[in-house]
Formats: sequence, C-alpha cells, structure tokens
Amino acid sequence: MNILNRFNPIFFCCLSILTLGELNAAEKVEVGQWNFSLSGGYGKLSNPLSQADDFTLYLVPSAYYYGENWYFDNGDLGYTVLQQTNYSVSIISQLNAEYAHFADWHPNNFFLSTAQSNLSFSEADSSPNSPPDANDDLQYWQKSPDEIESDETHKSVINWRDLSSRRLAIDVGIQGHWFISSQQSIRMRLMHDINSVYDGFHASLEYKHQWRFKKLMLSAHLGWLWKSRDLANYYYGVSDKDTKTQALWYQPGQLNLPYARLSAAYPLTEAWKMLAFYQYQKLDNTLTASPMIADDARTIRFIGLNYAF
Amino acid sequence: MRFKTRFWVGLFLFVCYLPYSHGMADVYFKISPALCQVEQSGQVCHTQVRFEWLLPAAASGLLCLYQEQQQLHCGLEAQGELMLKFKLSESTQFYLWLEEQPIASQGIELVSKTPARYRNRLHSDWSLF
Repeated sequence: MNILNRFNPIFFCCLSILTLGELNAAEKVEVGQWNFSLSGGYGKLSNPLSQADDFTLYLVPSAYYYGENWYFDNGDLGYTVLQQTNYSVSIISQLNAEYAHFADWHPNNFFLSTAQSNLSFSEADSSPNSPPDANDDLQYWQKSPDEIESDETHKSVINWRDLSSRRLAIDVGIQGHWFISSQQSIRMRLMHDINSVYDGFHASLEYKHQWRFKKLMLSAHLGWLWKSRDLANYYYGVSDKDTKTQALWYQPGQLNLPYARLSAAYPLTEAWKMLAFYQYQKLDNTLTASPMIADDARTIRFIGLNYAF
Repeated sequence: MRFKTRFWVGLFLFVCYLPYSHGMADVYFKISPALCQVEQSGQVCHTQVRFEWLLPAAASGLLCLYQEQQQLHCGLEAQGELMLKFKLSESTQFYLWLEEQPIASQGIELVSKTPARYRNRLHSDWSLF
C-alpha cells in the first residue's frame, strides 16, 4: 500500500509554501493590513527520506495579516494574549511540519514545483546490505546514538509499499517572544497535537539577530528544536503496522535538532527586492538511524527576486 | 589663504545656484487640496486637485506638470489653472518643469482619520521547522 497517494498535496502547500515566509526587513507590521508577496528564483527544499528527491523551489508566495490580537502569518494562526514593547505571548496553531516530507504532489498543480517528487523506494530485499534478523534489529534500536552512528553504513532500507499512512497533525501551543532590541529577539514555542495523531510535544528555542548595512539587510537565526519520542515514533518509526518484517522495525527516541538560518535582502525598488536564504538543520542520530531516513541533515536554500503586492 | 579659498568656493556656488534659485523664488505654484483624508490607513483617496501657476515674465521654454516621475501635461502656458482627478494610495509630489528643470513643487499628503498602528511580527522568515 503506497502511502503517498493518500496524502492530499494541498497539505504540502500549506506546510511548505505558506511557511516559507518572505524576508521582511521591517519587524513591525501594520495592524489590519494584508500583505502579499511572491518570490521567484531557484532553490531546494531537501527531503531526508530514503531515496526521495528534493523539492525544487521556483515560486514562493507569502501572505500574512496581523489584527489587534489575531494574526495569520504564512501558516501560523495565532492569538496574542499579551503584547508589550519587549515581549509577547501568543496561543498559536499550525500544521505539523514533519508531514511535509510525506506529501506527494505534482509540479504543475502548485507554485512550488518539484523535480520528480514522487517518492520511490527500493525493496528491503534489494538492499546491498542484508537486513538483520529480528533479535539483531531489536538490539539495534536500543543502542546508544554513538553505536547507532557507527552502524549506519549497515542500515537497512525500508520497503515503503508496506508502510501505513502518516496523518497530518494540527499542533496548538504557546509561543513567547522576547524582543531584546530592534536587532535581536528570542522565540520559544511549546506545541502539542490536538487531533491525537502522535500524542506528543515539540518545543523550540530560537535566537535571531539582524544587521543592516545601508540597504542590505542580513538576518541570522540559531535555533534548537526538540521533538518528543511519540512524535518521532509516529512519523519516523517503523512497526508491525508498516511491515511484518521485524528486521525493519525501528523506534527512534526523542529528537534534538539544532539549526542555523541565514538570509539576506536587498531592496531594488519599493516593491522589488533581491533575496537569498539558507537553512541547515542537523538531524539527530536516533533519527538518521531510521530505515526511512537517508540524510543526516535537512536544508532549505533559495535565491531570487521578491515582489510585494 | 584659508579665507581666500572659502571666498572663492562660496562665490562659485553662489553664481552656480543663482539662476536656479531665482527661478524657484519667482514661480507661483499652488495646489489644493494639500491633504487627502481616508478613514483608515491603506485605503485609496479619490480627489480632484486644482493646480494654479504663474511664471515670471522673463521665463520661457517648455513648461510641463509632473507627478513624481510621471509627466501629466506639457506645453502649459506661463499662467494657468488645471483641474485633475487622482486616486492616491500614498502621499505624492507634483512638479513644474521648465526646460527639463524642476522649478517648483507642491505635495498632497495622504492622511487617515484612524492612524496606522503597528505591532511586532511573530513569524520567522522562511521558517519551515
């Protein structure tokens, strides 16, 4: 059973297109004003799933609106319960980002096109490495991350035709911002799925620093993402629901995912600007050891022009 | 030596600026209204603008009316009036150009009854995770 055909491609749009917000030079936004922009250029959104192709980015739309308390910003729907000059607290909801890696869609249907995005996976039996037997496999996922790392070259490849489908989770949680200065801010988040898909949590801590050199705007983010074992198991674990081959069963532990993001924008006119973006996230060893994960990092990169409507 | 240098530089600037400043000072250019008011920030303001101008008798050449960089009318008389309708989404500036040189300017300021309010943006740029 191929899980990919059962995922609605629109959800991927919600996750990947709308969460790719524009690089906004001004941190203040006008209340009650919709903002739309479209970026055109070239970029890649990596997919760490085994034998999955990266998504190629050509057009990236952006939309956000801030009311007095409610706001929508590229996939986040939030209600700010506390707003002060230096900090804010909001209740937010968003579609879980992990689902994006499992969604399939056709390039002609959407703004973001893919390079052969249909995920195809090799049979477990066709792997050059012989899968371990059931007992070996049980020991395998109980090993320490260091041991797992050393064993990765012998990792089995999952047979995706036996996998059960992953569902889209809707996460709700609390978000806090500390605006240290006009250049620096810290964001914290704690989220939980309300539709009981994975019954877990994820949290993040992100530091942002901006610099302005005449018209050039540079922005750097350093962040740490934590995902609970339940979340990791739901999306990246392999169990008897997926395959009867015990050798492929796998349960990752909780995930620690540090990341860094750099972006630059240079306004050409009032409406046009050049922009470039790069994000790198290191994947946890317990995640890379999953039979369905092929890479040890995931990245987003894009360079192009942005037009604000 | 220092004084002499300053003197000559000052004289040079004065001579260069003289024709331009003379022209600007003697040109009568008025537009009304000077303000265009909307209910809320972001709305478009519809207004009819009256332009009046009078150039000194010595002035001659092609006289044109511009809105920012856009030419509205050319071949204007040395004295005249004009009524034009505009849809303004932001404050704008009008110019009288004589022989490819701006000689006077007036602006219309777009104001809203409810002043714009701003708040901090709460979403990371290009965030996927």
